[in-house]
Amino acid sequence: MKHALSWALMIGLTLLAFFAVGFRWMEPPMLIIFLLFLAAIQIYLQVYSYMHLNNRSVAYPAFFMMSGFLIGLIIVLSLKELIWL
Amino acid sequence: MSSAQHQADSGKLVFTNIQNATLLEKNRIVGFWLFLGGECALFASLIGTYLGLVGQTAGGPGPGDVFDLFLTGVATVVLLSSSATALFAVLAMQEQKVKQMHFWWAVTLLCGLTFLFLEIYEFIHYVHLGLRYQTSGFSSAFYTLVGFHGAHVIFGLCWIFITQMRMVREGITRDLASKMYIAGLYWHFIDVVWVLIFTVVYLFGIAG
Repeated sequence: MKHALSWALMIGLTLLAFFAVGFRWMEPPMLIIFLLFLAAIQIYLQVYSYMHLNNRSVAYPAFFMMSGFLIGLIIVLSLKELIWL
Repeated sequence: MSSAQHQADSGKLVFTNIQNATLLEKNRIVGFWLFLGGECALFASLIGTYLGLVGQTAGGPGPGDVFDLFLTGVATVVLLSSSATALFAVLAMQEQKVKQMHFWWAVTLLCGLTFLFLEIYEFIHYVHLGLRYQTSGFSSAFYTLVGFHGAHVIFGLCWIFITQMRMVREGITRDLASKMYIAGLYWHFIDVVWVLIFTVVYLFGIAG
């Protein structure tokens, strides 16, 4: 039941993101932040509700995954800013 | 939930799901999480490269010219649903409900295949619009990123299918349960990556 709910929530967030772009609810700087916010909620739901990274017996997996996200963020930002073509 | 928790002799709350009953299975799952951490770096590199090159259209079509909101929306809903059904399959497995588990895996495979066909159709459509792999920096980065994700989907489908076939023959054993659980984790991870891709590539591309 809890999982069906988070599925419905994810579909809802997805539709919200697509409508926000399709109907131009906002202009780019605000829109980009809004979309990133929605994506962050979805990823949180996936990782914590679906992949069960939410109890104390998974300290190592949580550490690995958080390191992955952190390194990923650094890679994305540095590549985006460093490519000067 | 029948799986959940119970009090061990020490009084500590422990998890006794079938997929992590012994240290071997637990270690498999921990190791797989380490792999997923590495996968984050792989996809981060591809996404970063895409963001760096997205403006380089070299006279060819740009993101706003080719991306179709409706097609991507349908593909996204299909893939998100398949992630949910994969979870239902794992929950059924933990409760030893064989038929239910196979049903949910079959739905997952079907959704995954649908997503794959939509993606292939999408790529063919883009080629007709003049966006080939070698057209521009943008097109190369786009096809590499989304193609890598598609390759993960293909691999995940094969993985789930093979493990499922083994379960048809051998039933829900402890050894197979941890493998199936890991395949499920992989499938959820593919979904996490897709959330990032549809936001950063498609929605940003159309939003401008």
